[in-house]
Amino acid sequence: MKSGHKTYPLNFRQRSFMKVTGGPVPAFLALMIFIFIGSFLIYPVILGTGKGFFSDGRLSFYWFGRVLDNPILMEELFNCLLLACATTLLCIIISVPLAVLRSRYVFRGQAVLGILILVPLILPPFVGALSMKRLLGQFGVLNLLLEKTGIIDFSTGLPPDWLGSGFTGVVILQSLHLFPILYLNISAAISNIDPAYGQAARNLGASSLKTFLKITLPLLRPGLFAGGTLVFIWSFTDVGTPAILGYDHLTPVTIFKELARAEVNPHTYSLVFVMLASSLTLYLLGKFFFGKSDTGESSKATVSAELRRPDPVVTLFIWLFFGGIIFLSLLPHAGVLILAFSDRWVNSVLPESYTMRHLGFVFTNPDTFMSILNSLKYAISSTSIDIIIGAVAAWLIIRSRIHGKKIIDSICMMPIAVPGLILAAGYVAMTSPGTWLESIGPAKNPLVILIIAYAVRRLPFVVRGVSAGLQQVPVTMEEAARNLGASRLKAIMRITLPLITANIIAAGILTFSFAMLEVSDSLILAQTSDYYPITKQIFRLATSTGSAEAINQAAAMGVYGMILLGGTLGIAALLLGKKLGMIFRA
Amino acid sequence: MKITLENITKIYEGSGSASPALDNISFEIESGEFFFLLGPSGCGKTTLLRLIAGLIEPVAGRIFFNEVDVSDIPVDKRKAVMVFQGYALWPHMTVRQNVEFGLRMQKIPGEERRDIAEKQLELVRMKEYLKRKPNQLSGGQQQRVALARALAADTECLLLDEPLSNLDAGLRLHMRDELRSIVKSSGVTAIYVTHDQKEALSMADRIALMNRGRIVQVGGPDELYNHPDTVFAADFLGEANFIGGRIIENRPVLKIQTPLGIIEAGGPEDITLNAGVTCCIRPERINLISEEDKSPPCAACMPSKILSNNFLGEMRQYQCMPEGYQGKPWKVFTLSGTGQGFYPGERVFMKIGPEDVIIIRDNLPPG
Repeated sequence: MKSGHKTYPLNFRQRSFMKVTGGPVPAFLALMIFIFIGSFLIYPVILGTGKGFFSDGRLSFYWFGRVLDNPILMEELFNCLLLACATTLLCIIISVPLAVLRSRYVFRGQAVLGILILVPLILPPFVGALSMKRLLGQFGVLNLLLEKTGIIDFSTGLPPDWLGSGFTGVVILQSLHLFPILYLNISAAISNIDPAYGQAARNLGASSLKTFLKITLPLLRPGLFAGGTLVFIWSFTDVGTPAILGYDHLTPVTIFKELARAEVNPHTYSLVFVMLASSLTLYLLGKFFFGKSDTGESSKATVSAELRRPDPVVTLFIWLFFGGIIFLSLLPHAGVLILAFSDRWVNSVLPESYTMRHLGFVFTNPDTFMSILNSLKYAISSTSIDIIIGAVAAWLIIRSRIHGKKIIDSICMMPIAVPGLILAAGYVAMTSPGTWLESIGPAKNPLVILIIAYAVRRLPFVVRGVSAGLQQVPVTMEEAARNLGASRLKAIMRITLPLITANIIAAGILTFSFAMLEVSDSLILAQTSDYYPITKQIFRLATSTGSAEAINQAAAMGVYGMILLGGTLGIAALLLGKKLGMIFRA
Repeated sequence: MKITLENITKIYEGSGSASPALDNISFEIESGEFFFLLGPSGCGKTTLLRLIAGLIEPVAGRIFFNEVDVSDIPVDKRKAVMVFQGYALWPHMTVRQNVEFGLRMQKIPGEERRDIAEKQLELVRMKEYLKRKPNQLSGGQQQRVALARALAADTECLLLDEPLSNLDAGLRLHMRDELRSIVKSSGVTAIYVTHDQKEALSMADRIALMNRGRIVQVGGPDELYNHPDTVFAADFLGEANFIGGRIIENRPVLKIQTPLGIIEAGGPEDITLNAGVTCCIRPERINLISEEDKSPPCAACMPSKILSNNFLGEMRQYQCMPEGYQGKPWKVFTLSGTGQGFYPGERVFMKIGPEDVIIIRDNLPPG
């Protein structure tokens, strides 16, 4: 080495290169993430559930005991479990064959069907519920069609109510909305299974069915569990859909009603605890029985999958199956669309006349227009927070050598396991009258807590999305830049960041669009009309007067929501390609 | 079991390639033979193996097992059991469950199934790992379990797809002998795919050398190495020096006029005068003689200059440039012995006897 050049002792070079990602900066960043999650997820949840264990300022199981002794509340809890089980089962029944068919065959129109199958995600099911009554109610479109074709006769008695008590309707609506999440998880799990496993079984004499049951299905278990958990918890704690369909004999609906009171009873917080304990217990049981991954790192594909080109009969079957599911899942959307344009729609299969009035109303009415502005405000702010925290967390998890990476990963994923309803209850407790945060409580100015609630709930999407990108960029690229003299920050900014921009944008878009149509926190935390976001406004329109005009206006808002979510999901799908599924994994 | 392939052609739909993956392949494998498919990556050897297994279907041609046409028998009924390149051991099953799987499919009762599985695992020295999961085993152990799983299925046709490629160099050498002895003692007909010519030469009864979807030559290891039909075969099966020339005499020995002067060769006898041929000389067949030792002078000694001397342990690899020659330097291997060998720049003589020259009726390779 020429004289005049600075020479570093070996230990310095080792330290600066090998421990490049340890040290004070990552530790500080990790601390910030712990503080964020600790303050806005763990603390409120503990507070919200803990309040049920205090009576007159003392630790007490009085309220908890009252909840357990109350047969009505227990029945409601049982109903929730039944509902979540039914929805998860129906989602599995729909999505497993879809994912398996898509992974086995190459057929015409596969790409189009692959995108269309995701469309149900673009509408919160409670908005779809607006149209389900119209479609499947006693004097709904289906019965009118059946009467026209002579299958049922209105004159001999009341026509059947296909929604029944509402249970069936809720299960159908939730399943048709949520099955794409399971489908994406299962598809990703299938693509992670080395095709040689199946081929080896076939080669040793197993039939296609036996190979599926003995090899493929057990290896799909983690994917099924990951997607199943999301679906289960979602359904278990859903407020909007049951409330709109009138099936409100459920714990979340009761909690929702109780939380809207000015003074929340400790009894309600006990109920929140029961809800959280139930979902956590079920999650852990599920993880113990189904969530164990055997595939480890040995699942790297060693042979390419033999994609079969089906004969015309099988192709037709695939198309009918995919088409049927897509048709059914788009029915609520179509219903909402028609409702938004319908002028008069009484006792007829389709509206008697159409109008643009409701779509215009959304922008001319100060309340509805304000709700759109509010949603934009909340969504943009929460997405910005998520991108910053999520990108930092992903970098710490994937790239750093900091101790406790698994803990960072786990706490960033926690919002997936904590239902929005429970988080909202925590915020209500945190800002309850008499506390120092009262001024940002739901009844006063919930702007900040709404933004934080949205950000906390969607953080896992960004962490997963950015992690996926980081995993694809070999660490050697960053090292090469460091090796050529770039500082750590410069290497990240100049090399890594440009390479994962697509992932960040896609995760940001998804976060934004889900925030725009967030339901449970919005329904509970926005209690004054000045702060209503879109979803709360739709809910208010749909439930306050029940007039046909208000339902049409709610549907019109739903249409704008669909356009927004559809467009953004489409862009995210284009940017992320097949990795879209990764974002929806627990 | 005798295996016969008749005019097998395979084209991958949508592969974008104009040439077929397999082009009109025909050959026979005798019962109990350890047969190798050898060739560079992408030559179609794995495709051929998968066709025999029934995992994929040819667009044309038939496959016979013991003269019975099995072309339309599906993979699960064909009983041509494969050891996959990555082993494909199911990660959710234990070693025992993996090995018993094929027996279960044959509906073999529990007791008998356990006995067979244990016997096969004993054969591959893996019996004590019965309860382990695949991810708790090393690469070599996984390889042995995969072999036991295949052998337990009571097949007469064993297909091995580069089974040693995932092992480190030392273990690979060790497993070569072990694998051959297990396969030969089991008496099955085995087809082994590899791109490693040393593996093929050291283990095979016979080898089919493949290139671009075609069989280039079929024969025993000796025959292929010492009597390659083509420049490709000579080049793929080991190091070689090539030089083109024209036959100027064909009795009693062949004399070939080359840019290096006249080279003598032992055969073949049926070659015509003036025919264009390629002379192939294996580097280990060339004797290097120092200037002082060259007595008496011989016609087949080519004066050359040493360009490099690489010590490879048991041998030395030299690059030599014949005097007045403009082509590529020649490779010469000698046993390393105790001395330092020849120094770069030293003048030596390359002695090549007629028995060291392989005549290939093929065009000269470029360069």
